[in-house]
Amino acid sequence: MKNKIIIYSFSQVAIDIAKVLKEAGYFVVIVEDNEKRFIEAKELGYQVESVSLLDDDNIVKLGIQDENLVAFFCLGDDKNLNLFITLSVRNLNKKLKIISVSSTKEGNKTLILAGANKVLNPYEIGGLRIFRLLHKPLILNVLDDILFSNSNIEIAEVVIPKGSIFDGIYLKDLRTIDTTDIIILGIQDREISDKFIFFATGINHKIDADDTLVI
Amino acid sequence: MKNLIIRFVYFLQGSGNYYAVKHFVYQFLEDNNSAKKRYFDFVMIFIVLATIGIMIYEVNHEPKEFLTNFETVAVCIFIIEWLLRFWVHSHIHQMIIEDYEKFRLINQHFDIKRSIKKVIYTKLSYIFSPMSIIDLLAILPYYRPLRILRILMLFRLFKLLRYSKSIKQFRDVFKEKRFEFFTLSIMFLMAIIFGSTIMFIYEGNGINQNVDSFFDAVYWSVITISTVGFGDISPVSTEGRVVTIFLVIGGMSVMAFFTSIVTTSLSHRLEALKDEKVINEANSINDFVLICGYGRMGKVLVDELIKVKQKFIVIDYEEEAFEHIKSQKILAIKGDATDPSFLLSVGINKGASSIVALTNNDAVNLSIILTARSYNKDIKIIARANDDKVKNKLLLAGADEIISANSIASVVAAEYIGQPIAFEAIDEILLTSDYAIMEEIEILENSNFIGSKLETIDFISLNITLIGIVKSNDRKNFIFNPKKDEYIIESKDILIIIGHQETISKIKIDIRSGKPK
Repeated sequence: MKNKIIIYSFSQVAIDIAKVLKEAGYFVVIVEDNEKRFIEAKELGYQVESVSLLDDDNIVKLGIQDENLVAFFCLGDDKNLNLFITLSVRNLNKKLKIISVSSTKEGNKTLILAGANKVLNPYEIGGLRIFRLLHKPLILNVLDDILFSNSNIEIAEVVIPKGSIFDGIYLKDLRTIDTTDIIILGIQDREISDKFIFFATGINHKIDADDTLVI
Repeated sequence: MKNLIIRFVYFLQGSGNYYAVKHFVYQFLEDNNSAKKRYFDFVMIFIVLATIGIMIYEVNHEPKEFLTNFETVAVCIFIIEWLLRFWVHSHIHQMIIEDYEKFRLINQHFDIKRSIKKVIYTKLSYIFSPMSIIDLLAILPYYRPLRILRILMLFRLFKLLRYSKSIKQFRDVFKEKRFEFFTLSIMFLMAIIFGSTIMFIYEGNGINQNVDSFFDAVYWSVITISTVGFGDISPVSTEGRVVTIFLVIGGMSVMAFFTSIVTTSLSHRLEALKDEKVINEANSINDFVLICGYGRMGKVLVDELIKVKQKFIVIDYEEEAFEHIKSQKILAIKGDATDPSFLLSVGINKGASSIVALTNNDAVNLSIILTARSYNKDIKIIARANDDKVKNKLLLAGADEIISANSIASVVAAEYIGQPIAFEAIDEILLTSDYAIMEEIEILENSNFIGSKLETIDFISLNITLIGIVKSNDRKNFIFNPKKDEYIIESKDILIIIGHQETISKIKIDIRSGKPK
């Protein structure tokens, strides 16, 4: 089963991320060479490795090319080390999902350039959340319910298989298909880059096999 | 007579119109927070400068009729202004009522003469206040037969002190540093007496033809000590020259001392003036967000608030925090957000609708929450928790929402691992882009849609996706994807929809105008 996640560094933000991922059922491996943090992670029950990721051999030994690896989190406090490790990991595994952390907008760009799929900026996320709380609190509540809570409403991604009734039809035609209790938010088309097209804005878009419907 | 006065003052006390008119006048003349006063001051500055201009013009020109008429109108305005200031300065009817009720309380005979004396004393104290005297002296030169009074026209320049805040600050510098100026004046006076006496003793007895009287010696000392040195009187004896050397050196020190006092004091004043400007603006706007702490999170929040044109004021303890926002038109003020009087001055209990505590110190954030909550029960408080363990304490202190950057980042990370496409989609909606937006529309109480089925609203042709409805009586009760042919719209329902900005504006208009499909 594909459920392994490697987290580099047991920094403050990593503590929270590891906890959430562990609770979500992932097998979390922490890489930490600081003795104090190493012990801390061990005590919390994680598998902890104390190796230097500046050496590619060590990264390979961690299992970076393993089939069951879901993602690699690069959460160190040193931005230069984060860049170096992100680049090394990307070089060793082209398809792996790499998530890194940065505290500035400029840092986001360089990490994406180094090969990260997603860069988390805790300050930016926090600031935006406060903005949403002030500007659209009701909508934030509804979305939180859908995304993060255990309510009956869930958001899901469905890849359109070949020969499906959706294959080859237009987004606007979906209105006529009975979709009781399901709202189609939009689609990610593999043909046109990976851009997400909202149902509300792309009615003349044709659905093909391999597209992902978000419902 | 006494009863008549008492009846009259009670009539004034009960008269709403009297208060309204007096308050209206007060706003023009004395209320620094009122926009009316700004316009009034501007007009008065113009009138004052114009009358002085006329005076200068008439020195070597024949008086022109329209200029004389202008002067008459200006003086009338000055007189009316002075009378109105005299009126709004104190509430005499209240003083009489207070006295009257005090006497009645202790069951004694009311002595109206005492009250009238008190009233006269209060009004006299206004008449003899420095600014009132300046006002009166500015009116006097209108009486042409007294040519000497023309010099009093210059008092009109002092009138400007009333109308310009920056000039007021200069006046305050003198008030604040009066001890330093007093010391300086004593030094100055002693040097002049010393210099002029020596000059008069050694050169006043016919040795120097230019020094006929003691006044000439004093005049020479002042001109020398101020380093002006006209040269019309100069010492001829050795003693006189020695005194000149000392006077020039002393003069330079006095000037340096004077300049340093004024400049340091003015630079402090300028800072205070800037802060005062922000506070005045804060008191004149409504529905703004107070952001306490301008760090990395604060910057992101400020950028977003600017995009949606939401009004806000940034408070930070450290001046350096504002370095890079000085060029932008952002209301920012240096101050301690845990200080109740400071929070009150920026409008925590007036125009502020929300306060965000974003400092990197949880104890400070807690203090901000408590202060804000104690002065405004309805304000929305959002606080940053730097340590997850203090979340409960912050909620207990009165915060409505707690933000912990690391824990939100962790939830976001987990969601991204699970459903990246869906997550990006939601993120896209939440960020205000012109692409697709999520919006809430409230069904107003008088809407024509109340009682109709949901299908009467035209979602389909506008390509709008209805996510669900939030009920007004229970904000937590969210009805997901209601059946359009069954759900009956109720008053104050809030529809949560996704669509293009254009189509959302269209449906908003349709719903507000009550236009069915």
